[in-house]
Amino acid sequence: MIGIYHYLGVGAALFAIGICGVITRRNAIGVLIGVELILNAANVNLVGFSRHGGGLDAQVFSIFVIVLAAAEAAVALAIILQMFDKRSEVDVDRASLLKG
Amino acid sequence: MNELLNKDLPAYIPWIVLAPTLAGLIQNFFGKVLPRKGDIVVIAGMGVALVLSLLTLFHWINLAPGEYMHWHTTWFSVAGGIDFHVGIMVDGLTAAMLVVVTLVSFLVFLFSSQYMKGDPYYHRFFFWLSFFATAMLILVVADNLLLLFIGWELVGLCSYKLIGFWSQDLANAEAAKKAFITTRIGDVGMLIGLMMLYNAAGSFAFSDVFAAVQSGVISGDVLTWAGIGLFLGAAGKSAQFPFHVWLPDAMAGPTPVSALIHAATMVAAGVYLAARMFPIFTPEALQYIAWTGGITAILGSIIAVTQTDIKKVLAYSTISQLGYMIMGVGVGAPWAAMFHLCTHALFKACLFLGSGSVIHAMHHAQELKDMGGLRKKLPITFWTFVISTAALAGLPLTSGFLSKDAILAQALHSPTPGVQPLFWIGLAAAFLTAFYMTRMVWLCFMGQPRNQEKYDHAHESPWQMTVPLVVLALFSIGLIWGGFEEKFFRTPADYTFFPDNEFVQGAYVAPGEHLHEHGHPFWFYACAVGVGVGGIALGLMLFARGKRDQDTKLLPGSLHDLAKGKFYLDEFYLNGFIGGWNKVAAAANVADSRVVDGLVNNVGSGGLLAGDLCGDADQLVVDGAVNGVADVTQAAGAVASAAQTGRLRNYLTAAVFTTAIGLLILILL
Repeated sequence: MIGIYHYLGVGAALFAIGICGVITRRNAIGVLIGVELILNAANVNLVGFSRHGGGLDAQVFSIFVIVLAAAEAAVALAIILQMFDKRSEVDVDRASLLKG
Repeated sequence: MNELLNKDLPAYIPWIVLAPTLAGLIQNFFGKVLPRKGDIVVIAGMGVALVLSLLTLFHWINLAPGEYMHWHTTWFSVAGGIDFHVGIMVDGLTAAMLVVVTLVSFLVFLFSSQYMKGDPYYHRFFFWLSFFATAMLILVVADNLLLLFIGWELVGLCSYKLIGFWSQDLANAEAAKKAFITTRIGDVGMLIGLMMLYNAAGSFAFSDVFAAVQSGVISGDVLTWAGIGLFLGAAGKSAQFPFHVWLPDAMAGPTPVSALIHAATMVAAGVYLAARMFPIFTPEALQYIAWTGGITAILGSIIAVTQTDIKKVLAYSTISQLGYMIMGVGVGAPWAAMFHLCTHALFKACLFLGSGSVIHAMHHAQELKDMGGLRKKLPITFWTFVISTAALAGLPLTSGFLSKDAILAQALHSPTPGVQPLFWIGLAAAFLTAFYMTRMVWLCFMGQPRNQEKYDHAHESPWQMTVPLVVLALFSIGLIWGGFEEKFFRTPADYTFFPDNEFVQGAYVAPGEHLHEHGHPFWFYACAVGVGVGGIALGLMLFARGKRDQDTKLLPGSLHDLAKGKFYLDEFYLNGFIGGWNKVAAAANVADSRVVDGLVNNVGSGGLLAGDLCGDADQLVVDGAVNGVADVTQAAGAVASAAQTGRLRNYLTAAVFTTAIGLLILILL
């Protein structure tokens, strides 16, 4: 029987992997992938809570998150494309023009 | 103007003063564009004044004895209802002075138009001449002491400007300064006398002052000192001992100026004042006046003997003759002084203009050593000069004989105590006068030329210069003056405002009075004629027969040196007063630069120091605070900005770990 902790465990693992990806990756694509993992960790948590007495509200919420993630991916990829177009690289460490 | 004038005063009389004034103003403002620099305007203005003065004279002669013409109006009022009046008064004294002043002025103006020809400041010269005439006429017609004093100072100013007319030469400017300051010293006395009289009479008008003296409001020693104070002003103006030192130096001015101002009119103003104010002089004051005049007369004539500059001889002669006049006032015969003033003004103006003619002919050489034999080159100048010299020497049939002997006669019988020796001093001065004039005439006109080059270039002057000489020389003839003093100053009643005061009555000697009382002593006339003839004879003997020249020492050795050095009065003043004064000034200067300047400087440097301190405080404290805030902010910013790496991953890491630590703390608690 799969309980709430299984969901939460998978969610936490996904979140941790995502965070690690975002923190360690210098490639913007990698960072974007990490962000997707974090979002989906949240989705897993939401689905798990829906399954165990949360009602459909949480599932609706996760649908929103998926839509949001798609929109976010589209915007982020557009930014990355522009970045590549301007600088011929996608290293987030070097995108530090706004540093004081 | 008509309704303002008292009916006693003809309406044309103010124009005697106004005509030269207007002419002077026109010439001053438009002189540069008018033909001949506007000198014709000035001469014409003076001509008008001369004609009107003659009218005034005849008008006055026709008045009844004791009458005079007077008009006055309120000039200004001061708080307390005190009015100051201004007015015109014409009596015998004024009428005679008016004619003398306007006649000499007119002739001198005419003379100047040639003498000053080509001078770059020709127009300015004529303006000052004209201004002088105005001031002198104001002085003469004034009916009160205040207006007289104004005219008095104005003529002093004109004298100053004209002596220093060629002020490019520093010596001329110095001479002008000396004349101005010396006369000012006398004027201090005059001002004091004036104030004393005003204090007593409450008015400056002659009539009020005389009334105050008569009623005894002011008397005794106070009156004596007021009189002497007033006389000091006259002594300064008339170059009386010890103020006479300025007049010889005043010869630095152009010769027409010397003739007009320093021989005929301005220097005579002192005598006029003394004669005008005669009623206020106490016997003690008269004594002082008489002796001042006598000393000046003899001193001037002694110095004149040793001078070698033609104008200087005449200057000392003028001093000597003014001394005579002052002596005349002092011995109680102001009419004789005024008589001598009038005759002297005309023949001395003639002599000065004659010397101007000589100087003009000699191209501005005025030393006797360059002259000699000029009678052939300058016949008109020569003859007019000789006639005037005869008058100055007091030869019979000349004007000088009448007036000079009138003074001597009164000195002999003067009611003023203790002045009888002045008769002998006067005689000695007359003798010396005849002698030095003979010397000068001989050295100038007779004998052989001593400077052939200058002699060859000499030429007679044009008519504008010779006509005044001839006219003035005519007035040296005694007949013209017949009965002058009887007409003008016959009795105390005719002597306007003469109070019936006992002592003044005693002091006053009417013309001829004493001679009639005492008869006509033969020895008196013998003396009077004898000194004149004797002086001339001695002069001719020494110079015509003895062939002496200008450098011969005529006086005993030490006296000659003393006289040649002008009795060292200049040096005495220079060392005694001016030197001492300069020391005082130097000391004051030191005190000023040390103490006052030091004080100011110390205050200044104190302020500077305080300012520095304030500046420092401002920079350290206020600026320090502001800068400190800025520095701290900047340092904090630098520290804080170190955390801002600009790397997203670092931020995220920090956020994650912070959240994690926060969660950990929440869980553990």
